[in-house]
Amino acid sequence: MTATVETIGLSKWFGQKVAVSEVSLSFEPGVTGLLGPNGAGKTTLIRLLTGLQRPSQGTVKLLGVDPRQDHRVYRRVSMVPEDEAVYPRLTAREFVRLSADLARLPDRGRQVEEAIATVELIDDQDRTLQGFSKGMRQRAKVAAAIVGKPEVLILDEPLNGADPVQRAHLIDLFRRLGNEGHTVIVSSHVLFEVERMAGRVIAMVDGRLAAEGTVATLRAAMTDKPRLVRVKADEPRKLASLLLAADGIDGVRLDGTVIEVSTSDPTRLAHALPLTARAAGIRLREVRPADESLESVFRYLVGR
Amino acid sequence: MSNTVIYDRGYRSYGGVRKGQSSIRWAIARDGIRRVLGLRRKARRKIFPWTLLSIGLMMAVVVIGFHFAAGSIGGGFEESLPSYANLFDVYSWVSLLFIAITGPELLGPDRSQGVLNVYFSRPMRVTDYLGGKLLAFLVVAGAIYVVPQLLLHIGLAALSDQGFLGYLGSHLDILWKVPAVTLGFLALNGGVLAIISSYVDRTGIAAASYIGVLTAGGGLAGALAQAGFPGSRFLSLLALADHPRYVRDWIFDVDLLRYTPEVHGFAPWVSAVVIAVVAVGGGWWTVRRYRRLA
Amino acid sequence: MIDFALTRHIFRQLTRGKRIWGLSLLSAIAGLSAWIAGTGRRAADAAENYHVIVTNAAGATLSIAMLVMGAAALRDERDGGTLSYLYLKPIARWRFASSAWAASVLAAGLAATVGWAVGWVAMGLTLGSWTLALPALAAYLAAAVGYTAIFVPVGYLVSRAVLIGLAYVFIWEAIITRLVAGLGATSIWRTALSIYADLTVLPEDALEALGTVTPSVIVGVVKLVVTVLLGTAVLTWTLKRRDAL
Repeated sequence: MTATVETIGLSKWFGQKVAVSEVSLSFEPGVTGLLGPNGAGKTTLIRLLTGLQRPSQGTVKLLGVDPRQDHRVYRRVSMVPEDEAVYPRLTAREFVRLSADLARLPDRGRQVEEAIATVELIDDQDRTLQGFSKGMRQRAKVAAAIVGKPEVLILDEPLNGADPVQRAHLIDLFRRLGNEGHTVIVSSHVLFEVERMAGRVIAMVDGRLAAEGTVATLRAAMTDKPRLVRVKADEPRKLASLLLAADGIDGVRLDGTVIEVSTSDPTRLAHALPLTARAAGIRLREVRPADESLESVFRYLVGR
Repeated sequence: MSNTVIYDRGYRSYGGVRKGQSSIRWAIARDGIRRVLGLRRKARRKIFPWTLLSIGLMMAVVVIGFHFAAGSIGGGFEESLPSYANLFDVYSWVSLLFIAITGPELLGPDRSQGVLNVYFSRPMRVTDYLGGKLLAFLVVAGAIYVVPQLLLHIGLAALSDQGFLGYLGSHLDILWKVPAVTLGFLALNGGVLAIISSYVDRTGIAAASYIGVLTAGGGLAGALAQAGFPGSRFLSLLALADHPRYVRDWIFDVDLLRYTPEVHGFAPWVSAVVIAVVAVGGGWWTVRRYRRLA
Repeated sequence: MIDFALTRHIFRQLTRGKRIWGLSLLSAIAGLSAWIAGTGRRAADAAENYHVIVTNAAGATLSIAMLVMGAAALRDERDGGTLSYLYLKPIARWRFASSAWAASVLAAGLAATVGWAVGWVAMGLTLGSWTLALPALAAYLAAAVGYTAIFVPVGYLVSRAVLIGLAYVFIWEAIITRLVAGLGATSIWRTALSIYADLTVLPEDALEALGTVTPSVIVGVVKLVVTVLLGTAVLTWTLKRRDAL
């Protein structure tokens, strides 16, 4: 698949502070999550990708062009900024309509209606944004960004302020857009939600790329960190003591009736565990990985 | 048996020395002074205030230079040269601009940045908060008047035939006249600025509004006072910018200009009363406004 | 030349709220003062009074109104955090710059026209002359064009644009250009007055405000056009080369 967004050696500094350092990335159609702790450089990276800021070094290509050189690319690109700022005196419909007008979209009326319906703001579209809650403003911003269905949609913390139902709805929307072939880049702190919507994840720490890939492949690549597996069995104490002697086990911990097994060689554990249980006549009830989540991957990357 | 005990200290509130309300006011004043002068902030925040202050000082140096030149030439020209009274006018637009940014910079940002709630969640009254801001205003805005005058005083003393100390001794009245006139300028401008700054968040807009009120108000007051209808002369008192200068002439016993209230028959003490009314009224209104905001 | 949607949006932002009323009132002060001062006077004196007040008083009050309107056009967007909604749109940067200026000059022109109209109506009603104040409209509109041409880019670049504008009006225009002959040509207000002075016969007291600048509509208009082009070019360059956020 051809990359729609590319950066090569991208860096940005403000005086002595390096916000983004030597980032070379590409984004393809689908949903990509951009993760990182506060101050990692995510927002700066997003601003560089969209052309809001000029790189100190390196290049950005958005749909094959440098956005700072060719404004026409903005016909096919949209962004939802992290800032809560909107035009307080505009109604939601006027705000989305403004976006459509400035983008010179054809059949604007219908596109505006569609965008507003997509974010479920039909009932409130004629109220001024001043009276909107945080979550509603966020939805209005998303509507303004998706009007015209841009090929590339970049969202900086789009779920901020949204209630759980709205969040679920927006996550479904982004996944749908990704499945339809749009390039959706979402920056977020909410790890389990990024896990739900993003097939691919990019992690940044201190302005640098810390990792990129799917959650599963990232976990698999973390070879210097032992895996944690949770086991429930009929005789947990007996099984735990037997596993200590088994191959491929780094450590065993008993937490009530749950055994936590730490291993650097999951394949060996997968082989040894059922054999050990069967030989001792112990019934296994549940075996599942305990640290496959994005959160554990993220904590590991940040802590390195 | 062991005598070892592990104490659970738990959460404890602060048990140390607590300073009084005056320290609150001083803390706010100190922060205000730093903010206006750009101290402990980026260099670009210092450009405006320090450039204006420097121009004021330069004007004082220029006047000292004139006195030096006149003294060298001789011929008694010194009497006609600018001195303490007219130094206030020599850089009047500079001082006006400086004051125009001081007031709004002290009050506006706390509201626009939404930190007023943080302030008033502390054990602080509205009067403590505004008292601190007033103190900062008096120090900073007072500097634009007093510092050039002080420089002029030292310069003239150094050039005087009476000798440095002799000049200072024979001009002790300057030590109360300059502060009195400064207070007049600060009271009037402060009163107007306080009202404007308590409503307008942005420094630039508040400054522009203040200058607009003074310049436009002065022109309109003059026109209205000349209209000739019964009581129209009292409208000359709306030429607010003229009052401190009229009082200045009164204190220094000079006659530098004709002021709108003077033209319409009002004595300088009336101007002093107007200044006091504007200062007290502006202060009262601002306290009232902030009691609603707090 | 301009993007109508962008111009309309910025114009609406500038003219919503109390600001437009306040600035219109400020622009009207000169006309109001002239009306009040001229009441009860001979027609000739009142007419002369009008010209003197407009050339002197409006230089302060109208200038403030125009520069505030200019500085606010894009500064409001930057300070309000909404610039990205406009910047990330397929609008060529030169077109963006000229649209922002167009919106600003329309809003400033509206405030200036309201301000001028107060004086025009006042002179018409009190002196019966509906043509006396007409040339002044040229000065008011020229001021709107000139100040916005400078302060739209300044407002985009600098957060303290209004303060810089006040320093420009009250130190540069009011003091420095009076003291240094030849610098009068850099004063927007004097450029506006040069057009005014060429369209009507101004009394001596009013001509003093012009300084050493020669009355000329053509020269004044050319200066304003050059100022607009330069201002737009600076803003275009800034939009392309500098960070928007």
